[in-house]
Amino acid sequence: MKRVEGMGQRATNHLSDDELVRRAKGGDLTAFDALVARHYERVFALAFHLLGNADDAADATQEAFLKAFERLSQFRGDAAFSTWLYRITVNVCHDWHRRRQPVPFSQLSDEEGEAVSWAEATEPDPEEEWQRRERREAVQKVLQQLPDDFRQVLILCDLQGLTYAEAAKVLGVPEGTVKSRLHRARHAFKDLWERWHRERMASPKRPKGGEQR
Amino acid sequence: MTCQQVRSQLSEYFSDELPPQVRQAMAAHLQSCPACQQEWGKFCEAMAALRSLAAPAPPADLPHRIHAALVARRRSAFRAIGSLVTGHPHRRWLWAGMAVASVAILLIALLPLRLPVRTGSEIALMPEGTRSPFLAQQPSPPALSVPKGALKEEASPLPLKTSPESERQSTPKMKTPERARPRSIPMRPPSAPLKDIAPQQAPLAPLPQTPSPTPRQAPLPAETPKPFPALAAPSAPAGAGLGIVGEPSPTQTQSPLMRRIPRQAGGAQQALRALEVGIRMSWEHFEPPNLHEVALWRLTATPPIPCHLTLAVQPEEGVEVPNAAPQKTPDGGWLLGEGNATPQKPLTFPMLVRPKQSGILRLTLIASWDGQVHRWSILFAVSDRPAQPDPNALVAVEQDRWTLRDLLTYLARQMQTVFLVPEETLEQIVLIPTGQRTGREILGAVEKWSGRRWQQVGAAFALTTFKGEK
Repeated sequence: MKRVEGMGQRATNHLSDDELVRRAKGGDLTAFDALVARHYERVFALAFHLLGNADDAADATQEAFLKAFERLSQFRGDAAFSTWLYRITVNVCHDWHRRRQPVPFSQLSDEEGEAVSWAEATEPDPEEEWQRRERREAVQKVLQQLPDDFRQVLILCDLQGLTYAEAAKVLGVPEGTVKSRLHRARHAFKDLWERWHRERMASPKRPKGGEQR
Repeated sequence: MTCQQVRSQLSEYFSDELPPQVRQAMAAHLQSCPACQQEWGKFCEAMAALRSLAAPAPPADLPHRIHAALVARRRSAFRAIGSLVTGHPHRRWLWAGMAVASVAILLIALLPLRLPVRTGSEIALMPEGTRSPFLAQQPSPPALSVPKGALKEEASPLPLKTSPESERQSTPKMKTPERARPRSIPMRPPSAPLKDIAPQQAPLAPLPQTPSPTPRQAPLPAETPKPFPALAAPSAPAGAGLGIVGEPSPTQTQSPLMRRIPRQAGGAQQALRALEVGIRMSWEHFEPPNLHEVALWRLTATPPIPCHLTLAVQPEEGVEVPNAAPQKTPDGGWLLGEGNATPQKPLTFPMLVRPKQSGILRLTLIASWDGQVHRWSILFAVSDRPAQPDPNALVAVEQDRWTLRDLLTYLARQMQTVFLVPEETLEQIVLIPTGQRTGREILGAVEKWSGRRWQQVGAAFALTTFKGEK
């Protein structure tokens, strides 16, 4: 079996990011659409992790692409287009975050609706699914507790899988800084994560029977 | 090494970034200090939780929204500046004028102060419509800063292009391509108290060892089930064969084996080095076996230090290794060959394989040297008719929790391929989101969970560790 090709992207499938950028700079909106199609999921994932909710992440993704388009002429090709795009995304999310109130830690173990849903995942049994969801939400909330620079580096390196060099370009700091920041951020995450566990143990919540299907 | 030192470097240990001596010292400390071991367990647990975080699928219409916003923004920029200048958005001439104006303003800025008067005559050479009152009103460089963004955005003389709606609407809901950091993940010590490190949701898309953070190879087709980035392109150097390294993980480092080695390997230093590097085995030649036919596989074992090496094979039901000696080795299995080997002079063992039934067959390879034993499992598919291996075959994943053994057994059939993996990885739990995935995508997830990576030669895949491996 073969993958089915997307109809709309056939024409641009074979083009490199650089070539698409070149065409987009010349005003070719289709080329820019192709760049969007290629990168929006990763940008959305990055924004989601940075912001902690899907609606904001979608808006931030849109904003990041608009900004990228506006500034396309400034893109010199020193780094990969994706790296440059991540940098814009991180900055958009950073501004976004500053405008919001931080989540108080006391709310960490609260359920908050279906903000995070892992679409199409199997649901082996309600209990397990509930635990997973709770865990996911907890990770997300603990992440939101971290200072911006810690959260950024954790997300870029541990979740998005960027190398130190790439993360350094995205964040605009030296590679050594990324490394040391990542290590400190992980320890901070671990501390908060344990704290969440302790608080959860203090007031455990159980799933509501077996009706979650 | 003090507890304090150990605890402050857990992250570096986790990422496998410490110099070998420090790593060994940490491993030794962790083995002997229950408190630090517990901290390490907690650290691994937190990292597993973090890395298990998957973003939800983005809204399916997001690209369309972005496109629409872009078009809207360009239009509103036209209108705003159009009305500012001429009272109506007369695009082509307006923008030609703006372009000329900006060049002119730049010239003004660059020329010595006494020259600006010339610019008027230059502009007069332009067509009538291009002479913009904008320039006359605001001849100084600061004027540029007002419409700057719009100027850039609209610098192109091309008309707006909109792609057909149908292109956008077919965008499916996809999972986000998560990527785990493709570095080696030392396993927690066996006695660490937290028991659910493995059973986390796998971040969907570990991209192994590619320098790029993004799938640059090709845009994701709109109907692609999921943007699970493909496994890195086969990276085995030409002629290098299929490399596998039975390098001990930190877990193994802490095993009793450690105490057994110095006896024969010539001193602690050498023993440590041996543990560090492990035995390396390359698969020099692989041919897919057909039912009732003999295939020749050639394996080369390269030890890290001079030693006496023994290679044995343990075929399971349905497969024969005709050239294995009928004598059993102490570690189980039938002798394939033995001899002295050095890093410079490795030993090559031919192995004949004859499948006697179709289905998934298994062999265990056992290499023993200097008191150490490494075991690998070889899983391969044999069908009645010769089948073409297909690493990109679409595989239906109907459950999300697998042991590596079950997963590879399933994949071997679906992809018609062969896997060679260190035996200790077989019981590893791997979580794969259900749905249609390509074989490569699934193998990518395995890399994340095992902390090792795949090497491919032809249609064969060998799971190796990162450290020291190209």
